[in-house]
Amino acid sequence: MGNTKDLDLCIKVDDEKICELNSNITQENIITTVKTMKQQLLDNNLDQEKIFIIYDISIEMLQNILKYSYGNMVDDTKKREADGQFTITYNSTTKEFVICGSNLITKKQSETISQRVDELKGLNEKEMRKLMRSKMKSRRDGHADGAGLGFVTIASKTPHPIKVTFEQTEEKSNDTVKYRLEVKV
Amino acid sequence: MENINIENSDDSPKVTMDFENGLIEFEGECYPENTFEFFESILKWIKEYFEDDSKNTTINFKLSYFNSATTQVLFDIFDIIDESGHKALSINWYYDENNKGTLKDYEEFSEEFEDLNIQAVAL
Repeated sequence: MGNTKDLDLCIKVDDEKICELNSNITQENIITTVKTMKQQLLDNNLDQEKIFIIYDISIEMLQNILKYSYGNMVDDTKKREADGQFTITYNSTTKEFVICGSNLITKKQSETISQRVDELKGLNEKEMRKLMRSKMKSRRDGHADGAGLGFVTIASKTPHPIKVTFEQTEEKSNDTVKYRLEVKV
Repeated sequence: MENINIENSDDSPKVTMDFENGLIEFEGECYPENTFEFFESILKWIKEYFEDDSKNTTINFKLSYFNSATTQVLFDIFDIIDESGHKALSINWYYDENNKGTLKDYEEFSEEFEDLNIQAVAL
């Protein structure tokens, strides 16, 4: 595998890296990543409730990269492999975590995600729950391009607005953009 | 009906589907890579099981974490049970008192499927 197929898992406390793993994004690596991350955070005696939330968001985010990243590969047993980056940063002054995932997606997917972000803007907790339930009822909604229930689930885990950016890239295809999702906990 | 017994793995729960004893149980974490395929035979079994609406049945959900795809499958499971009109039924949702998310999940399902009278049980 080339260097481009790296998952850069990185946990940083302030500016110090406490955990780093470079490997392809596969289901097996997601399992290793989230378990390592959870243990690291528990060992540092951080807020347990936040750790559960970070664990949940991390799995959703990483599985979204695995499933929807542009150019991902699927083998005969339906196991996938994808490119992407994933970082968790903890600020000891503000006691806030920032979870960030990024990967290439198609422009069509970015349009779907943009629509979903607009849909989420300004929703209160009750409205968010209503939206989630509507997505729970339908397996089909949003799943062709991502930004379905998983995306809403991530947004519902934190009171902070999620931050989404798209960056133009000349890599691989003109039809792709670099998608970055940032969640504060 | 043949029973289904699946051992847990790092990303999938232990599944017990015991026809003779009327016990259905899911225990552990659930975020398999291909969630809908993991649950395919399970959903088929549940559909067949609930064609008979007289059997005393206990269903235990002891899931410490599940991904959004699993949420949709759980919704399907509750839907099948709800539509069956099965009455001799006890559904227990086990939650971790230290993890508010597991109680929030209970609230979502119990409010959506009010008639099933899903009980919350603290671990």
